Amino acid sequence: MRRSLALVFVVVLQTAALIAMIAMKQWTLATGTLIELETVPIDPRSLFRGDYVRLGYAIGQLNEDALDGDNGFARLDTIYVVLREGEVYWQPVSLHKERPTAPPDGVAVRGHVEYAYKHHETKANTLRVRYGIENYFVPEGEGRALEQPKEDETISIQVSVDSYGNAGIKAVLVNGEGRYVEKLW
Amino acid sequence: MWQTVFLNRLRKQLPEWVAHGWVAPEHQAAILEHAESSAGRGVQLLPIVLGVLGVLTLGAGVIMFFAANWAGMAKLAKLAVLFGGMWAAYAVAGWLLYRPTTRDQMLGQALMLLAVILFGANIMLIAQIYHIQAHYPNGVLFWSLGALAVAYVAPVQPVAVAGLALAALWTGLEAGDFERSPHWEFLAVWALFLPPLVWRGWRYAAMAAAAALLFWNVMLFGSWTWREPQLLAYLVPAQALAAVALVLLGVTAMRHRRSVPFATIVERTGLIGLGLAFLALIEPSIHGLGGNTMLGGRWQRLDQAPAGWIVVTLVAGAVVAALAAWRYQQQAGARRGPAGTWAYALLAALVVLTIANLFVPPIKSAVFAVHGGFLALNFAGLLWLIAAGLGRGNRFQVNLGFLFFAMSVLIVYFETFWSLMNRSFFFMGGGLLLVIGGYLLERQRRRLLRGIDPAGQGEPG
Repeated sequence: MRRSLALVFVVVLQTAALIAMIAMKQWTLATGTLIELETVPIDPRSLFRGDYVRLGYAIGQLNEDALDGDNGFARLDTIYVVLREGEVYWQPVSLHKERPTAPPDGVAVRGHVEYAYKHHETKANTLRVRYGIENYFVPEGEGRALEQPKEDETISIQVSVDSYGNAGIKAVLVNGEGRYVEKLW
Repeated sequence: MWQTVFLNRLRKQLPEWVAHGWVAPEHQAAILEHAESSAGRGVQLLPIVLGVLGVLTLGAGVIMFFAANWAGMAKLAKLAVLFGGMWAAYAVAGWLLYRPTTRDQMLGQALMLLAVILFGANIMLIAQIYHIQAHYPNGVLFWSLGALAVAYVAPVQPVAVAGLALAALWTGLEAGDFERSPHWEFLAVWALFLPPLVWRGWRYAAMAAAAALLFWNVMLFGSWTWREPQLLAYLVPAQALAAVALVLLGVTAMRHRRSVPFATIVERTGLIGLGLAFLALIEPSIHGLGGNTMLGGRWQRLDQAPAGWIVVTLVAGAVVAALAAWRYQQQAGARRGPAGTWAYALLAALVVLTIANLFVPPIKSAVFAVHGGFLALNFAGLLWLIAAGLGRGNRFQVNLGFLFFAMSVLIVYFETFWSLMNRSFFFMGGGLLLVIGGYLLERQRRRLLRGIDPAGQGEPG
């Protein structure tokens, strides 16, 4: 009986851990500030793999010299990027090594530096940053429509950023309209 | 079926063996009776095999059904399938495991492993459903910890083996993809697997733990080869000392009843680790001497050993000395053959050489001397390993000695002749060395092993 109870305890623990994964993500989506990000094409050979789309963002490549805040970031460093709403998309304003207090009209999103390098043309210190929103799973066969949008289509991503800087994709927008919108169920 | 074939053959051959005088006539009937009763017990295997196959087939069918309809399913339905599958596997496994019959135990173990696999699948699939992209090695760690929890509460050795393999994968991803090396967190997780493994006497899990520890060391060496090659001159000797400590722990543990099941595994892990460390130490480039095959052939010896490495090496040397003294005391009064004395001399030489390595001035001739010392110690140690293995009747030691001897010769050949010989002659020479040297070594190995019992575990050394 004691052994069975111990096993039940472990199964409950594992189930709780799995539910926590969902809960944390939903907390980000439910409580975060909604921002809209511009997508940019990335290496076409790896844009679409299997049934998920790889997304590149304008804020995924940052010019360290042109932005306020800290500098001297290295590969695999944690980075906080303060974003402010632009005309259409949210734009980077400053870079930080520690979580900053986000300005009232902005958000601080957390990422990690994938590469830090000197840009071959501009010679600027450039950072390639990942925010954990670079992959999006879509139903089988629908990825190609996102990978190769029609001429009159613009694809952008609505992202929710919570108070800790975690980001989660809330919706995939085509011409500003939600094509895929995340829901709990 | 195989038992029937075996029994028929035994019935046919036993009279011949009796006629040759290999089997006493009065034992013939007893042997046959024992073989027939054992064969009767084996019949129970069939339902178990069919049961496991049935579970796997059913599982494959269910997975294929949901895979085909996955995209069309609502999230709630997907979650119901994922959680329901895992809960069902745990429930049936637990029900079977806690019933006393042997047959159900085996099926229960298979289902418990399936449940742990489903837990891992759930991590990945929930991450997919909710687009969760965390630091991906954490998913593997998460899975390994799930297996660890099960290993604590259920007597299922394959779950511990799977958990340790996942822990090794986790450290491989952290060190390889995220340059986290040394990845100390692995050692903490690894250590958490030891208690259930020891109190349940799981030998296969102990082997998996040993393999995972060796893998961690190899990853450490591999990642530092690129990131901090100058520190390899201090890292690898420290690894060699740690491996010697394991060997000494293993042979000492053979004297204690509770640790006997693991003593051989600990000793062998230490011997393999030591052999691997010495394969690196005979490379001139590890010592910053350049060399032909690694690290680009540049002189890159630090002017002075970092203080941290001096402390680490001295502590490791002290631990080895203490363990050796303990072992020496254990053997007090017992007859110590030449191999025993030789072992202590080699140990002393290794400790002295690793300490000298810390303080050697950054002059090529001095570093060459240290490298030469390690080279000589390697071959002396391998000869000791083979001799001691023969003395103890330990086939593993003899085979390991021959294997590392052959690999050492190849490394020395590469290092010595790569730049001295024309490439075509180099490869022709290498080929001849492999063919002729391999033949001679194998002949010698077989000749030496002839006198050892094939199942020889050996006596405590």
